[in-house]
Amino acid sequence: MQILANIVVLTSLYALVACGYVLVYKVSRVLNLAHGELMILGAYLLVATSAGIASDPLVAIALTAMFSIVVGLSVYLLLMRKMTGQPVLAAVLTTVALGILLRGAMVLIWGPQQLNVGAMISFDNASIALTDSVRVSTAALWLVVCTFLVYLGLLAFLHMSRWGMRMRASGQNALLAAQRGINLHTVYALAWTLSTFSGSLAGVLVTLDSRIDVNMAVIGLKAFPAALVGGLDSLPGALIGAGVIAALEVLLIHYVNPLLSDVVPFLVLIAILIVRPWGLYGTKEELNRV
Amino acid sequence: MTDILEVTELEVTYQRSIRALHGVNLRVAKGQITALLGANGAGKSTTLRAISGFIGLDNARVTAGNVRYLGEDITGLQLPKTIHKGIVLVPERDKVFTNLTVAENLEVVSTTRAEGSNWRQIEEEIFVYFPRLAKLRNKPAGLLSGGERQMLAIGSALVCKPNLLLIDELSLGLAPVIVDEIIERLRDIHARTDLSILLVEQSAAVAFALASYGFVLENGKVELEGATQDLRTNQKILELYLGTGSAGRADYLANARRRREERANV
Ligand SMILES: Nc1ncnc2c1ncn2[C@@H]1O[C@H](COP(=O)(O)OP(=O)(O)OP(=O)(O)O)[C@@H](O)[C@H]1O
Ligand SMILES: [Mg+2]
Repeated sequence: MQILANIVVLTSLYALVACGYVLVYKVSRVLNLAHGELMILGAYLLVATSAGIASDPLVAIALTAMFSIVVGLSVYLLLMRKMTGQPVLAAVLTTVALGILLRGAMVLIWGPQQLNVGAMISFDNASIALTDSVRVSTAALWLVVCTFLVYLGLLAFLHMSRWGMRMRASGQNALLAAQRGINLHTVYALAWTLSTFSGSLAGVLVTLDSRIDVNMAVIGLKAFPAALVGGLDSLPGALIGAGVIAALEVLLIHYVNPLLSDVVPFLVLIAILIVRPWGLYGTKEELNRV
Repeated sequence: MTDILEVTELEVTYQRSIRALHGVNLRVAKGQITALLGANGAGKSTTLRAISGFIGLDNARVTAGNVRYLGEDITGLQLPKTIHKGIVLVPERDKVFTNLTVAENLEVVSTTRAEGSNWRQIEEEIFVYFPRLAKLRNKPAGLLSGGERQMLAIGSALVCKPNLLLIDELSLGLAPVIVDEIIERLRDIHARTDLSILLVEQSAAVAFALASYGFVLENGKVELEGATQDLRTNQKILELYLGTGSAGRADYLANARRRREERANV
């Protein structure tokens, strides 16, 4: 049972990170390879907020969420906006550069050592007993709840609001979207903002459960196969992909060898690319993307 | 009669080197349906795209000439600004969002001219023009037939509240019954609104059935223009689009078959 709880928690983490890849890819066909770094930046923003502005954990987290929206918007306006209409490869390479830049900047500002963010904002990460034998930490519980709410919110937004529809429409046919009066810049800015927001949320929640250093950006890379397994342009697909990767990872760690943890996602990635390159739920005609 | 659109000496270049239009001149009279005829590759789509605006992805530029709309110079104006001015295009291919339902295809439209209006009401207006779409409301547009797609495309263009509607290939690939139905619907829409329409067609018959004036485009230049009743009897048009056109195709097919047989015999 404890294993099941661990799988659910890890699924939530991968799913929350993966939806950021999906959002940007779905509307603009751009793979954001800086997503892991943006996620960790969210956690460092919490460090900065709690040190400088607010000491109450909830206020600090809320402020961090707002800053992450500003970050997402700036990344689009200052950087990716110029890439609109350029070959997709150029945009992807720009995100690689952004990732490297962010990593360097974060080391410069906050140092290479591990920080204990939970202690800094005096967050009480008590272990909660779900049943007699199953325990999860408070932060992990938050993570599961937040992921659930984020997915619910995103799906409702994409399918029930006009701007959500416009995001789906622009992803399917950007030219036609422009021909129907939709401002592509607004749509892309929205995608980057939502993506960075959900990524930062994941970063914040994961650091409350452990310590943080720049190398944790690798979680972004491990969640990428989750998005790809699901097809990269499907939110439910990303959720299922996250489940598959998390389950395999937890089970292999438990029954085979803990050292496998970092390889599992990429083994699954390769397997999927060979068997079903368009993912479990992705649009089939996107085959030429890889 | 005043013109809603006036295109003079328009030149368009793709990818900085491929010249598609070599000085196109045409006019659309207010409240009238005007046809633009021409063979494949003549530059019809390019003309419509240049009027309705390119986006960065097209890598296309108006290199000379100008486009005047309601007396205002709008040369090179990009999407979606043209939409807000009331110029709306029904494109040749990819004319609906296949992953959205019929109703969503109508709702997704964004223009200051339609924003804030009552959505149910706008949808119902479109369904009055195209009753067939009402039954398909919740069906993904990707599953529609060609005719239904064309109706939805015209419908979603109408939601933008155009003054000038540009239609690229109204009848291409559609069965004659459907073409008749769509012609009927367009006449009805045209009668009820003060819409001006510029219609690109390969079928002279369809163009003549709707339009009052026509232009013939050849290799990026207008070669011929006139009222449709004059064009109808024009010898050149007859050769190009009515008589010898299909006969020519039959010849070509026969020749191709003969060549194939000869090759097989060798
Ligand atoms: N995106 C593009 N890049 C480069 N050249 C293009 C592009 N689009 C069109 N062209 C060229 O411009 C010329 C005119 O094309 P256009 O599509 O306007 O013709 P058309 O009259 O609409 O033909 P059709 O009846 O086949 O639709 C053609 O020679 C075509 O090869
Ligand atoms: Mg064309």
